[in-house]
Amino acid sequence: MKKSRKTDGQPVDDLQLLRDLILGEEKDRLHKLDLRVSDLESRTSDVAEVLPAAMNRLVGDPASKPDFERPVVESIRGAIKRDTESFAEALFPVLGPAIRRAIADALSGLVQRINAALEHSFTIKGLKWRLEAARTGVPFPQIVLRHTMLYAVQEAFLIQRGSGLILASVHRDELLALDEDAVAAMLTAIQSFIQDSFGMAADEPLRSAELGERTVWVINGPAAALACVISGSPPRAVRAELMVLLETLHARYGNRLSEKPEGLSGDEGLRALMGEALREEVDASVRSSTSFKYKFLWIMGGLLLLGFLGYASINAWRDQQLSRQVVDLFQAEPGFVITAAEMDDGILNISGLRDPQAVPVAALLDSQQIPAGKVKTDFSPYQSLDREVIIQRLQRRFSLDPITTFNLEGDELTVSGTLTSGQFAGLQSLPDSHALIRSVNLDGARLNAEEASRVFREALDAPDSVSFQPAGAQMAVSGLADGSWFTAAREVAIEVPGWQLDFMPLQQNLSAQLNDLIENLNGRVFQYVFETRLTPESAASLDVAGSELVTAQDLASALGAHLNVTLEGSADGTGSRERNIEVSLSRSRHLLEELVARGMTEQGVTQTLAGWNESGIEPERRKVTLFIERSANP
Amino acid sequence: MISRKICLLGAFSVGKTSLVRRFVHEVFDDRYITTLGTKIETVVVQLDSGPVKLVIWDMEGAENTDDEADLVTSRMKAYLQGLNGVLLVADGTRAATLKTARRLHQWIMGASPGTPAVLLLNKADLKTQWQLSPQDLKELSESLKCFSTSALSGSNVDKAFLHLAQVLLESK
Ligand SMILES: Nc1nc2c(ncn2[C@@H]2O[C@H](COP(=O)(O)OP(=O)(O)OP(=O)(O)O)[C@@H](O)[C@H]2O)c(=O)[nH]1
Ligand SMILES: [Mg+2]
Repeated sequence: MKKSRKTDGQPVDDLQLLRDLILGEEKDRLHKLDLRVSDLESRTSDVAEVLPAAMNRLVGDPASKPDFERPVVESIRGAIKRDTESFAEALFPVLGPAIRRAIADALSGLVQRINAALEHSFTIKGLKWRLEAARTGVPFPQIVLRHTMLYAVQEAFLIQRGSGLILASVHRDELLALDEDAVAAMLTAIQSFIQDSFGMAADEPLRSAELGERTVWVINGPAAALACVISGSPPRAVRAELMVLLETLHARYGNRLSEKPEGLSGDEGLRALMGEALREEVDASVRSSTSFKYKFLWIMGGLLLLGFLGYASINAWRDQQLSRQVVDLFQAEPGFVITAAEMDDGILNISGLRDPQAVPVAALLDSQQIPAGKVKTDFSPYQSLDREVIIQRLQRRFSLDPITTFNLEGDELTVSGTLTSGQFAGLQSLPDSHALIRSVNLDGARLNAEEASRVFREALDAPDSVSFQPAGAQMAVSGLADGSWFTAAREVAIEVPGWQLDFMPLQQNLSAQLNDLIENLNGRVFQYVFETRLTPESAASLDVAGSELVTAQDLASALGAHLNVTLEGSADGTGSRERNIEVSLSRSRHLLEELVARGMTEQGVTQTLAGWNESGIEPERRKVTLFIERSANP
Repeated sequence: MISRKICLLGAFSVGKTSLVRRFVHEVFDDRYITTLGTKIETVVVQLDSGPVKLVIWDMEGAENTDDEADLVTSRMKAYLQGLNGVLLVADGTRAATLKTARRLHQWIMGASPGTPAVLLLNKADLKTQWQLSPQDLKELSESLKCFSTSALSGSNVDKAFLHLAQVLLESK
């Protein structure tokens, strides 16, 4: 105890000293640790150091993942519920590009219409519109838009308010790809979402939505909404008309609109009323644009514009024009995605993606007479694997009718309906080039009637007098033809998908023709002067008679019919009996030889004698009469 | 064809979306992608009395809360308009979700009395981890038709949907 250096000399101090001596270092560290733990800031930075690694490990570990996710999801969910508006705002940047795209699409449509308008501006119609603009004070482009606006309501459905169930629907095309019930329910859900998120009043919900290339208008009523899928750009007035229609529907059906939907499903009156929603406006004259006449006017207009605008701006305008035209062209074409387009020194550089199935670039440019030198393209290949997209793309690529059906099962594509030969060839060679399709089943497909008749005509080498008429699954052959063609044609085996030849109509025609010939020839008289000398008239008629007989025989053999031809020789009453027989026979033999010389077949021809009158000279009996009839047996 | 709107309601992550996917597409995915708003699917079911098209509204999860305003939000109310039937879903491994399902049922019965409803106790494949007492289950099945389902294995899923469809048609 005396070892203490301190004056008050307390033993505690000694102990402390001892502690310091032995544990000094540890105590110091402990103190520092203590400070670190109690100081919030340094604790925070410690955690921050290990947190990323810890989180990574948590997220990567399947066992702890749900435990980790749950609070995160829960807090996000809570935040969305408490403050929907700011989340809706956060979503806006995502919606933005989609909306911009929609606007750009609309604008490109506008440019197309304005182009059409410029062409019109040098026509009488264009002048009229200019006058209208001057008279009304409405800007010219707006007048043009008003006149060229094209649209069609493709389908319309009446949706029950709230439940989103469909009360009635009508559509233009018989085959519909849409799941109407799902679309109707989604539109209803979107309305609710928008109403709730943006605090809109209940009577001011979703009015219009973009659905691919289509616009959907939703018109709201107290018990039901009318949704119309529209292609093109309908004028605003149509909306008012549709609103009136919806009001009529409400007035007529009242409470029934709020009851179970099947109550209205068979109502013809409702369907008929709904049919009125399928409005359209088509200005066909605007569609066919670049005719030669217009080209001339273009040049005129171009010269005029030159005066006003100067050369430079014309060039810029033309560049822009070209760029628009080409971009629109590619965008409208399935299998192309344009990612960039820029004009460089008069050359348009286009880059993007191209499906190998798509039309070749050169052919596409050529189809619009765009000089290949003006456009440089750089496409990377891509292929969408979506079944629907594949089918849709194929359907568009082969521009198939709505009545054709396309079905992709596994890797076999089944097509039924009416196709062109081009479509046939394209579809048949599809497995060679398509990544997903291994085989194409065309058993249910048929060649279109026009081409089928052409194929038949060529294969049979049919004369112009023969015609081919589709009748159901049969191609009826009618008109007229000679017997040998008929015989030969029936032997030819040709396969045209979906078609069977029917020769019956032609056969009936030929049979009738044969009957006419027989009627015409039967009883024809060939008059003789004396012995085997024909009168000049009769001699002159031989050629016609010969060819008629040839035709008749030809037809008969083609039709499997048999002809009995009889040449009956006669003589006048002078001379002996032997003499008369001899003369009669020699005359019929003479006529036979003359006719055989003109192509008639001897087979089936018989010669007979007529009786004669012993009493006197009857020059008119110096003759041969031809009898012809169809016989049942050879 | 007759069509009916049905909704799946329940706390979040109980497996509503998975049940619809199992019933409509016959698949299961163990990833969890939470539903915001609602997701709509349609399916045609063949009953003895003929085909019915079900328009299925798979709703976003409700919060496990006692506050009524938070339980059924204004957005959810909008979605539920005009519904014909409801599938209440709870997760057997989380007792709180059962309470939420019962509260949602009470709310529906208040808002549109007589709406056909069935209760699905989901995740039956995890029965060893269930937090429900036999007493709970017994009480439940007295007031509501219950099915213990698994979107993972598919067990009882078709049965539950078809039962509701049948009841919907009978309650014409
Ligand atoms: N083991 C098991 N997991 C399931 C089952 N059903 C769903 N899950 C899983 O549970 C998680 C949530 O499933 P969801 O179907 O998204 O749940 P939800 O109810 O739609 O969730 P919210 O949309 O957020 O309300 C997912 O990870 C699923 O894989 C089941 O029957 N068994
Ligand atoms: Mg979900």
